[in-house]
Amino acid sequence: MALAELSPLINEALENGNEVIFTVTGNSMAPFLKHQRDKVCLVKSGGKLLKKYDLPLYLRADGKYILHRIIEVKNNGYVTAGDQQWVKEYPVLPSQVVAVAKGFWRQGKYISCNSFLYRVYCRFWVALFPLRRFYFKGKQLWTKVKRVNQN
Amino acid sequence: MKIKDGYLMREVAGTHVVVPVGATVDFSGMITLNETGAFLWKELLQDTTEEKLLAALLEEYEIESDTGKRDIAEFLARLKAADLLE
Repeated sequence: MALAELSPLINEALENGNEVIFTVTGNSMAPFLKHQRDKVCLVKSGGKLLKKYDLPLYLRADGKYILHRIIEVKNNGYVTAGDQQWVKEYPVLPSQVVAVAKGFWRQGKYISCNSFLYRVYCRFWVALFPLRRFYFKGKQLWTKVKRVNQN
Repeated sequence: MKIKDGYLMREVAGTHVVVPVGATVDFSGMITLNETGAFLWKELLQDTTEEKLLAALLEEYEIESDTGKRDIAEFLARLKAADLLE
């Protein structure tokens, strides 16, 4: 069942001050979070301004829920991108944000957003953002070359 | 027997879903129920027996007693497997 269909339940839980847990769908946050493998724990953001590296759950105009990282905070909103994406989304408005990640279960192991290694990973991964395009294009090309060689 | 505390059933987009609730609402542990499942779930919110469940089911739906018995047994087996009964 799509997250969007559950939105009344999600909102109710967050309004009651509960934490909510979801299984991650999609691979846009790989290599950190993988489709159907990992889980995320979210809390209400309470309308407060989020920071760079935060991982909000937000609603797009089409009603889809998105979990992507804030890679920059601008005056008109957040700039976001999945860890596996090299295209930015802007602006994501604070009013679109439903909740913010507090921690994760990655391969069954809990990682808090405050953990040292996670914070290092965020900084490292976002710092390399400009190189992602080349990395993923290179990877695509490499797969293509391999396929051509096999034929 | 009855359903353990700490679960909430809601109708969402025409489907009945059950989520574990506490300080944390775990959607990754969500269960979806069909109409009969939802009916039995409601009956199981109070302490009941298989006989009472069958009587309630037969009153609500026009089905054979054997079919009802089989459905109930299957449903209860699933609930037991998921450790939802007490």
